[in-house]
Amino acid sequence: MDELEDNPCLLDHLIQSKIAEKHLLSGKIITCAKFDEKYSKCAENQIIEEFPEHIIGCKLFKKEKKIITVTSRNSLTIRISSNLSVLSKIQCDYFATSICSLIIGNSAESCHVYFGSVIGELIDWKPHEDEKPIMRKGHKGMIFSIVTDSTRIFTISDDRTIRMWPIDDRESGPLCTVFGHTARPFAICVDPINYRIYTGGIEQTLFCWKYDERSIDLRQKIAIPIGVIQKISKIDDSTLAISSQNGDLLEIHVEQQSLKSKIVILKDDLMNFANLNGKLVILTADNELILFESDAMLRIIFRCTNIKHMTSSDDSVVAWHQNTWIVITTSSVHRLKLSMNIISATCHASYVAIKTIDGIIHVYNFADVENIRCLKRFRAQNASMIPAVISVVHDNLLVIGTTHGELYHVDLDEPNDDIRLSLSRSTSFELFGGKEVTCIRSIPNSSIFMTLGKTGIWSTIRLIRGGTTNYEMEVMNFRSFSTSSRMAWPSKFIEWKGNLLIVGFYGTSLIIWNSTTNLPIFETYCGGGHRIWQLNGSEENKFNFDFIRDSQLCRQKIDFLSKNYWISNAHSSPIVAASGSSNYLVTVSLDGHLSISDGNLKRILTIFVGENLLCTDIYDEADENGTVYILTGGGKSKLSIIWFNSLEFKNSSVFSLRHVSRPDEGRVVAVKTCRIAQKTYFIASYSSGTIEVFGGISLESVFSIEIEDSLGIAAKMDYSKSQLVVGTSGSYILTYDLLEDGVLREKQRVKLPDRSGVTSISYIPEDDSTIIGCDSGHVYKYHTSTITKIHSHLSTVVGIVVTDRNRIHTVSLDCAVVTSSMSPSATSSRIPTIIGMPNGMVKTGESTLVVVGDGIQSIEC
Amino acid sequence: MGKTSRDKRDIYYRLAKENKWRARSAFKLMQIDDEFQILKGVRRAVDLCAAPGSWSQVLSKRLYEEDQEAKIVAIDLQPMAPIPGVIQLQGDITSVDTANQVIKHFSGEKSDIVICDGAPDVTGIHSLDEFMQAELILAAFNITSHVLKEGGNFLAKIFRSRNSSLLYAQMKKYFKKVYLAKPRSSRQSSCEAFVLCLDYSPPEGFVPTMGKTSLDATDASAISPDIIDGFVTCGDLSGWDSEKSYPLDIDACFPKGEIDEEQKKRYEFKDVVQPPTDPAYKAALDKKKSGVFAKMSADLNRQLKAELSRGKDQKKTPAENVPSVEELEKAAEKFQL
Repeated sequence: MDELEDNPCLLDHLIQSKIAEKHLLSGKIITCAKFDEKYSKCAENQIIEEFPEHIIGCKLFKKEKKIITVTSRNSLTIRISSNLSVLSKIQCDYFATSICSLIIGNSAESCHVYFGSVIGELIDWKPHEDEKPIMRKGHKGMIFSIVTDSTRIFTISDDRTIRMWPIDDRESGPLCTVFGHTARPFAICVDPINYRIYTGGIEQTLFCWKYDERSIDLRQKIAIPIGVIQKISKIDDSTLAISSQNGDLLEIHVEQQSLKSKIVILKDDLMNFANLNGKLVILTADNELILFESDAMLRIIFRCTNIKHMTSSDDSVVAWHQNTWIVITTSSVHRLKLSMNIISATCHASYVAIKTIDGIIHVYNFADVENIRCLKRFRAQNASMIPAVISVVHDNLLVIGTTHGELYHVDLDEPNDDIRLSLSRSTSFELFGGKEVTCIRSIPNSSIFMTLGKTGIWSTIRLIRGGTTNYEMEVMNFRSFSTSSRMAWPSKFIEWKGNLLIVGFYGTSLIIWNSTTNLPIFETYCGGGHRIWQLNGSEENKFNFDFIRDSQLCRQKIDFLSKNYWISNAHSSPIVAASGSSNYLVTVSLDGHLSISDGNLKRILTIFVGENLLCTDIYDEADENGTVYILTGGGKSKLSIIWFNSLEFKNSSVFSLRHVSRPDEGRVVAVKTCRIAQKTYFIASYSSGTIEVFGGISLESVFSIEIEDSLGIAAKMDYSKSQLVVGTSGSYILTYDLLEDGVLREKQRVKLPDRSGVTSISYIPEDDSTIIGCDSGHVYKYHTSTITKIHSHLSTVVGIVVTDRNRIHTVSLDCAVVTSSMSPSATSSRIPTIIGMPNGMVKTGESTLVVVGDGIQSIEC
Repeated sequence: MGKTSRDKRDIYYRLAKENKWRARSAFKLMQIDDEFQILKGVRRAVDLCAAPGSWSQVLSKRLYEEDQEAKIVAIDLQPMAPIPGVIQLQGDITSVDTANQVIKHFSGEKSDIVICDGAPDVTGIHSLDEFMQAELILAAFNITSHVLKEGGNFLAKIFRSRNSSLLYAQMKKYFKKVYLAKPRSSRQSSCEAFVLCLDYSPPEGFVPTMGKTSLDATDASAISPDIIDGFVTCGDLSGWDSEKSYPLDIDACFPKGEIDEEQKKRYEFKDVVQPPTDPAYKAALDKKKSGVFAKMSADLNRQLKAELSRGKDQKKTPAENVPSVEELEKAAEKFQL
């Protein structure tokens, strides 16, 4: 991270990332949790407080060359800064546990310490003056953070309040108490220059407050869906650094001036406008169409009166009134008359589709200015259909989306090909809900395109050549947006620096969303009532958001780096499961995101699949089509399958997605992909105790079995070479043969000796043995009806990886990866994890172990 | 979905409501007692961090209802609704006064068992949560060393995390047997377990103190999993499985003996027996219910709208980068019509 050199305070925000030695700042004092690998290997001098002592504060007095540390047991230690040797130790006379602190003052002898206790008391302590600390009452829950602007201190607490306290008057209660947070706030930051306070916590929202001598007022809320906010720091007058529990790190610009200074009014009395590569087209309230040479509006190129309607695309404008219409492209202007009146028109590049009052739709191409002609003419089945958006796919296929959600297509290269209804209103109801198609974007050099609709659904569709001169539309996937994206009305795709952005609206706010990373780029309140807008690039990272509001053409500058994600793992809640192959790593989390990375942990794509994902599996031993399969299951009883061609996926993020729901079966707790005799089956286990086999990507159920009640549920599964092994919550190992027709035939059943449930499992086909991890912490090997203990943890075993040299790696909730061999007598090695709450471990790439939980940790093995 | 989804997903949550237990944790104590008989012969019991009182309910049912002379003392900072046979102390378990009150209620005798189902407020900051849990267990042990008789037993909830083995090692100094017990009503996906310490035998010369206790062992990596005497799963395998989801109409799927047709009624939702009494966020919750937060959001939006409206009065500003005359002339030539 090169940003570290410019912003040293960011070091405090890093949670799981390794830090290069060059970035570890000389002379900096760092406190961190034990086993935090990024520090312990690089620090020159270090001390470790004995557990459960917990350092909760630290301050360096440079002139005195002393360091003060304070701990959760309210003790203060003064050390020499060069070698950390102890000079003195003072115990505060207060015995409740503290979890945060603030140290102020200019010297170690005259410092002033505040502790925030778990029962909500603010302890005000001058260690060299006070015999007893002063209890400052007010908070009713544990205090999470204390900050100061040098005359006041601010605290946030589990009672959801922010309180302001005077420093000098130590006997008084809080000057001010404000509510606003609806869930725990963990982080607070004060900006004394601008009299601002910033807070955040579980809500994943940054609260901006303004304070004065007696009051604190809420000024702004900014949604930041990166997970639970843990720390907020001020970088400069307008920039904050925010980090989350998952280790995400975000730089955000917060505005100090009011909104109105950001919006410039360019012109009054407008009905519509369009920017065409620097040229400006406007339709005035006087029904006058004017083409300016630039948006400075200094020189008129074209003018026409008595025009009442206008639509536009990125590259063209069409305007009309009765039977007169104007077409403006980047290189030409045309005025035409028809024999009858026009009802509506829409355009894309040089193509224009118009509907006339006789109900016929005409398609024109204006690319060849010498030979303008009508390409296609047809009457729609639905007489009320009006084209809303058109696009060209694969250079020759015109696709039309309508105001009622239908999709039409026509082959422009075939003179006799008629417009065909590809998706009727009923067949596309899942995509558009009978509402308007808002955007069609073709993927270059392919017959695939993406659509957006007013229902908030984003779909990918492929045109497949069927019989003679005919194409069929196949819906490859459709997905909704997560609630945290706040994208209710997606309107447009924009490409920016290799990322695919989606622009849309949520109520009265403009939302810009990076669909490649699943992160918000920008959000601004722009008032209601207007939907005529354009987003144009002016610099590399700055865009002009032009829109019409109250007949005025307004412009707002948008900086795409106002939210700059330095670290992001694409999950805003802990990762609950992962699966790996030699080419991919897949992670899922309760927030519904599935993230796909390559074997080097570089993320390719993040998809919102559905809430409460619990398990996943990937299979990429490519079949003859080079297809990769990914399964996910979740707490909403939904099983999802994603499949793609590797090349298509990496180039254009194209994939297929299908769902099936089993509401009566409860949660999907385990999934597995099975390949046998050139057939692919998908197996799901439910919390009701059922195991179901699906035949292929149609997700048609071909077989299901009910596990007996006394065995528990099939908590974990593994499969290889037609053998399915199941570990149950009732401490049983079941093995099945998977037959070619998808039937599971039980072979064996054995009970584990310690009666605890199976929490992880791995099957080794080479010697037909199974490695089992249990809730008890024990790891067993099961082979030919014999169960042998391999090694033990002191908590639930959540992940097992067996590598090629028959080394067994297990990870447990006691935050350790233990590695041993098959032989019980061999010694084992133990590596602490950085992840504080591991949820799984898989192998990916050549030889990389990946531990997932609050973040992702990779280990070479 | 809605309010019955947890009833379907969590069988012990449902059973607790149906059987009037205040929390599902009641089943955990019952399953541990069924396995180890820790409540057999007990005449004096202490329940630390007792609120909302489900463990005290179990003590009342298994001790007081059997023997009216049995004495049960429940301690918590939070107030608690009364339970028959249970003496409630609202106090701090780190206070010597609290320990002395317990012994006073036992007429100078010491307790046969001390149980603690307390858990610190989990923040999700794992190093902090881990530390707070350790402090809680050590505090529970401190008061236990004051009130527990030699040969008595101690049962406490523990989250098995990074440094938990240090706590096991500490308990082994004072008890002859230390087990990890995992009731079937505790989910396997949880790191929760219960450390069961049997036969209190403090070392020679040990003086109970309420001050902060330091741990003898400090390096969790050096502690072998053999430190505990065993991990024991408690509860009958034919009983309810906490990982499994059950249909709402239990009787239709799991008939037990003869059932009249009329008794097969639809599932009836029940509220929880005892919601949290006095949480830290109570004031914030009241404000939310009365619509204060919604009003704050509406005020914010109104403010933004007002600012935008005032922007209408602003004079028109010329756009940046006014082109030169040469550029205009050049463009005009290009668009000869």
